[in-house]
Amino acid sequence: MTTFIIRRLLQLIPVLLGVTVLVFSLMHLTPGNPAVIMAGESAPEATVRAIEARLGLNDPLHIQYFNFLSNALQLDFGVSIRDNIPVFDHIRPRFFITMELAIYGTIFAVVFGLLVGIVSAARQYSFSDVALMVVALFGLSMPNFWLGLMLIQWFAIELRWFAPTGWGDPNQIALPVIALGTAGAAIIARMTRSSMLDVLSQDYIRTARAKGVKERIVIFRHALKNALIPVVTVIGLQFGYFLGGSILTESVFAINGLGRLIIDSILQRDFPVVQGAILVISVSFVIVNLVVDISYRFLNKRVDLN
Amino acid sequence: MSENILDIKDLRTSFFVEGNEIKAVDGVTFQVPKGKTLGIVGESGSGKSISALSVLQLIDDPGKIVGGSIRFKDEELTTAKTSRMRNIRGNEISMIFQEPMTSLNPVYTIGQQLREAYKIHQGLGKKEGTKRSIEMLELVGIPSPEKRVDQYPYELSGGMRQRVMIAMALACKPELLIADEPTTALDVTIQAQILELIKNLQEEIGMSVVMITHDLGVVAETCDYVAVMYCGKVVEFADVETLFENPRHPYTVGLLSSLPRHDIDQDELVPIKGNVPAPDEMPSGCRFAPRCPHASAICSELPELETQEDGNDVRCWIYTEQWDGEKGVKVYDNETTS
Amino acid sequence: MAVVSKESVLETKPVNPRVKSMKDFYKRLKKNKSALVGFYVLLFFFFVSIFGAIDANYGITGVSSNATNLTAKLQGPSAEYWFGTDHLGRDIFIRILHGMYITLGVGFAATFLAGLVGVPLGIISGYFGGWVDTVIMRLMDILLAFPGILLALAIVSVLGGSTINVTIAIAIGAVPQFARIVRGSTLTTKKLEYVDAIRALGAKNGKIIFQHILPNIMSPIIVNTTLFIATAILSAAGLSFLGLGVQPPTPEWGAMLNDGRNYMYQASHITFFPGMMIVIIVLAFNLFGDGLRDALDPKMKK
Repeated sequence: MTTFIIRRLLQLIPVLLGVTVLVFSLMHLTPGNPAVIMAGESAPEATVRAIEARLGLNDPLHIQYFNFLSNALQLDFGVSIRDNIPVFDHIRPRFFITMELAIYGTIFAVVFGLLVGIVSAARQYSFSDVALMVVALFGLSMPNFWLGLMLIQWFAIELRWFAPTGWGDPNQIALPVIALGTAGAAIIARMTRSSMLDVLSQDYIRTARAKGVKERIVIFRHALKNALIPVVTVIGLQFGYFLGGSILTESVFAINGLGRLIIDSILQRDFPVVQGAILVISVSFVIVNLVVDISYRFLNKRVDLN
Repeated sequence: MSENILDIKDLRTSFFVEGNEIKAVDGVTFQVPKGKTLGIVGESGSGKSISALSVLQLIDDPGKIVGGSIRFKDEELTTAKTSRMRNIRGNEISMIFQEPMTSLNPVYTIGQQLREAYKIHQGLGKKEGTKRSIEMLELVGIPSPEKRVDQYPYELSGGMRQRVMIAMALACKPELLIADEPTTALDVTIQAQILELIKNLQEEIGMSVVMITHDLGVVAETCDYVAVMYCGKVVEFADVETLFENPRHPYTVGLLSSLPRHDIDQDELVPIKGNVPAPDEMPSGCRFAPRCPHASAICSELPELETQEDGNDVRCWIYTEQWDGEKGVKVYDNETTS
Repeated sequence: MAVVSKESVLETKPVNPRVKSMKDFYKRLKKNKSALVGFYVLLFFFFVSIFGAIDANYGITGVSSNATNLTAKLQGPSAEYWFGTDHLGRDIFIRILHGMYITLGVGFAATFLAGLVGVPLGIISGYFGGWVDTVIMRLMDILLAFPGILLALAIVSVLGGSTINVTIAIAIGAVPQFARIVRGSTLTTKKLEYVDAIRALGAKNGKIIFQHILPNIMSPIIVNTTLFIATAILSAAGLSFLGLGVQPPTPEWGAMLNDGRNYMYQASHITFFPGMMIVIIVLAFNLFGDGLRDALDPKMKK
């Protein structure tokens, strides 16, 4: 187990390096000179040159990358072109908002996904199974930004139950969480169902029934614990995707998270901010995946080792 | 109270797949005398496991018991309530399965799984349940049971797991144990130990046993009576001596001839020709007719399971008045070719 | 939850995920009603989108998708405007019709491109193993480190928003998914005994890959292609919705949603209809893909 964790950590190094190279080069391939954007279109040549020198834009590329990397390791992503505020200061408060959104979204997806999946599997081919799976398929097929718009339309504009935009108050949180979490709930529901059906056909379930165990206990005690093992991976992945998927949700609900920061910064050509924010999201995603991988391995130990 | 603990009559269990009915068990009749061991023998797909699962009503969708009766201690089980069935399972009738490697729940310890039986049927708490579990593990010959109760199935070998399965099945001292190929998945040396164990415990508890197997060696060693199944039907039911000495049904004869024997000098084994028919190609008459060396015109009709003068049953036209084939056909020669 | 004891009669059916014949495949697909519904819906939309594409360029209906009519702006659905009009008085039904080929086209093209790169990478990685495998898979891991739409977003922000750039961006994001799935199936197939036998007979790698590996891994490729088109359509719409994808006034559905969001208080139908169409098409692909999986891989079916 320890060797496994160490190996996974070592594997992480080239991936993280690759991510930084990719992010770095993407921003350098982007048309437009950052110095010109910072100084303004009509700024004198000398000002532009001075900014270029300050940003190190005249250094060879590999030196620039090395500086970028060593700064990034110290959480220094440079300063915003727009307002000269350190990128990290832009990112930090928004990172927590996005995290919050992703965590609530995951909780929503897990609660509903598991519930639907278990009910469906316990009553395979029944009316409720078919109906729930149809709903899940719809959930899976819906663009989360459109669902968000529709939720605003119904519950904020027409019924006035919730606030249409923003983040923080309880009445602002519900709609974005539903919009973000629905697709994940659908995926978890489908996964739970098929995993449960798989487990329910195992020999040890028959053993439990032969022992005289009640059907309810067969499902919740004997089957569920086994069925959840593969579902854990999906839940972890969902959390990761929510970090990325929140870009659209944040845009729809005007939430000041990382996603909205990225979009605004792209539109304003504020490269250092885009760079920093994308880097933060992908590194968090990679770490989440690592944790999921290790916990899956841990859960699966008893099952797989034979 | 009859002398048979289990009396199955004309049991029919079918699977309904894509609108077709597949008759896995097609009119099975047999009895298990109290305190005795009945062997059920047959090839894969003959319906022996499905018959056993039907007794405990453990047939899942798309399978269903469609007819017949199962009487356990004069109580009809096919119409019994779910709650009554739950009470019987693991308490009055227990079952052990073929695959010890997959029959234990991988995420619970041995102790947790054993304790559950005591909790369900005897309402024992954790402490008392653990104590009894350890006693039971000791009884089935598991060394240092107080350590084993806290281990997970993956930490045990196949033979050990089957012992745990047996301990679990016998926890509540059932009156009937159904063992579904309990030794098939185990090494030969372990096989003998497990059979010995079941036999000893049977005497200790005084229970009856249904031993499902495709291994005639196991039958010879452990059983008092034998039901031979072919394609969902019992073709011969006899006490174990008669079956080996004087088998009547050509299928039984075939099974015995295809077995290597130590008591007589044998030049070659005689396999049964052909294959078990597919469910959709099942002959309407005698199921074995296409493979039977003696088949005659009348075999296109289905023979009944009829009792012979020695009290044993056989489902074959040869032993009836209507037989139209070769007279006095000698189906089995105990002193075969040397 | 069928009783699957070792001798269950249900197990007599052969289990072979390989596409044996189109007839056999169609027979199995036909049994899956929901997959057939998905298939017919897709077929219908396919022809509609061809009609829409022709109409958009040659004007059969005589209505342009970009014809503004400010006197009839923000109108609800009516006999004249089936799906209503937008803030510039453009006919939303016509715009959806004319934009359909863009949605389907981007979905198909991005998936095709991703498969074109991802499938060979996966086969090479799985078949040859060793350091080739390590290098390819680490590269794929790097691309996979950007969750969801993020990679496509970053690429589009460099390339600029246009239909082609959106397609490329989504394709790049999908390459690792194809590579991973194909690698897995290749590994399983490679381990089959008969592949060893063929290699022992001296068959060349190319021959083994094309004649023995590829036919065996077609099922997962086909299934994932279908399901990925659904995801690609969602991603493309998302990028356009953010204003970074296909640019207005092209009647791309995501871009139309972006237009409509500012008028939600007055005219909710502007956002409703394009989104509904996305749901229907994506749903059809998902239905069809699920059905394909069941039909191509009997192991998955209970």
